[in-house]
Parts: sequence; structure tokens; C-alpha cells
Amino acid sequence: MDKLLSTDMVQTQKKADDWQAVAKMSGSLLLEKDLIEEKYIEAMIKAVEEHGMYIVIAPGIALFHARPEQGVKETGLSLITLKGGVNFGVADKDPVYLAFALAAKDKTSHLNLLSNLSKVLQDQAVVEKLKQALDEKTLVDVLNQKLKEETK
Amino acid sequence: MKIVAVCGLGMGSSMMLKMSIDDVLKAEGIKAKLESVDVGSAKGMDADIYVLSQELEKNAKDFSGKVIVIKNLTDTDEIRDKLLAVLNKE
Repeated sequence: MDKLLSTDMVQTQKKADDWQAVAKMSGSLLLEKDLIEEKYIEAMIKAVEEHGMYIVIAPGIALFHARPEQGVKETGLSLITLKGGVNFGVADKDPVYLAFALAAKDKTSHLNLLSNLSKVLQDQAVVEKLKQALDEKTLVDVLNQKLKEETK
Repeated sequence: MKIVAVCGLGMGSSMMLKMSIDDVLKAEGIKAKLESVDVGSAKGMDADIYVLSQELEKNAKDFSGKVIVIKNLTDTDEIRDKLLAVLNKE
């Protein structure tokens, strides 16, 4: 099974004022690895403004993304964890502690990533560990351990 | 029968929903056509069941079939229970 996240695609225990700041932080990780063009980050924010906060997929968890043609170079995923959480304005799911940003080059290349991500997020104990991880290595170890169990 | 998973752009959260629905259908031995689409496309589609997150519910009035609203897209129990409740009425 593919690795879901590497330590350089993760930043733990960050602080942010609002959801736009969180989008920019998670998007910056994709930008630094040259997976996206800068305009993709704005597109992720616009997608929320246009369609609503449906990107908060579960209590405490957000998944930012835009369309392939809005500046994706390569498929990838990043994660920011938020110290104390950030309110996204979704009453029963606030605050958000885990903010993922997804770049998908086409309609299928990210399916394996999403499938792995689903398995991880369906496990409440793992989600708690991800929220609490104090550094990038601890977080990635939690993810890899979970995925290893899934493939057994 | 056709089931569609709906999200804003049709490739992030709807794709995760689609995977969860697929798991439920397989586990229950139910055969159905399953697609993930964006909200705009869903409005013009002819499906039996639309599954979407509660933040998109306001769009559901334009859908032609039954609508299932999911609170937590990672909660397979919620998805299974709500889906089976609708399917068992068919």
C-alpha cells in the first residue's frame, strides 16, 4: 500500500486565525513540493466560498481541494494539525484539528490516496492520535502503523 | 438502480462517500450503479438515490430521487444505516 503522507507533507500543532489561513498553510506544503501552482490555493478557498463548508467531512476534520485543471502538477496530499483547533463555522463539527489539502492531477490518480485516507479516518483512535501528535515524525508513524495493519 | 455521491466538485468528499457506499453495497450483496458527481451535474442527473453531506443539503431540493444526508463522511455506520433504511423501503 502506498504511503499516505511523508514528514515533509505534514506540519503539526500549528496555529491559525481562520479557515482561509488554514487553507493557505496546507496548500503551501503542496506548493513547496511543486505539486501545484500557486493559484490552486486560491481555488481551494473559492470552492468553499462557492459550495459551502462541505469540506469539513467529519467532526474536527477538513479536506481542502480544487479541480485538476485549476493548477495541479502532480497528485499529492498534505496535512496541517491545529493546536487548539480552528472554527470553520460548522456548528456540530467545529473546531477543526486536522486539515488536509488534496491535489489531484486527474479524476483517478488520487483514488488510492483517498481510499487510504478513508481507512485512517474511520478509526477514531487513530484520529485522536493524529490530533495529539506533537511532531511530524510521530504523526507519520501513526499513519504508517495504521496502514500496515490494514494490509495484513 | 442508480446511486450518486454528491460533493461540491465531484472528486474529493464525494469520492470518499462513494467508496464507503461501495463497501456497504458489497457487504450487503446489493447491486447498483454508483457514481460520484459535483453538485451542478447532480441536478441534471436521473438517479434513484442521492447521497450528500449536510452542508450541501440546500441543493437537494433540485434532485429527482431520494436524498440521503450524511453528517460524518468517515462514519461507515451512519452511511450504512441511512442507506439501508432507504433501500429497504424500495
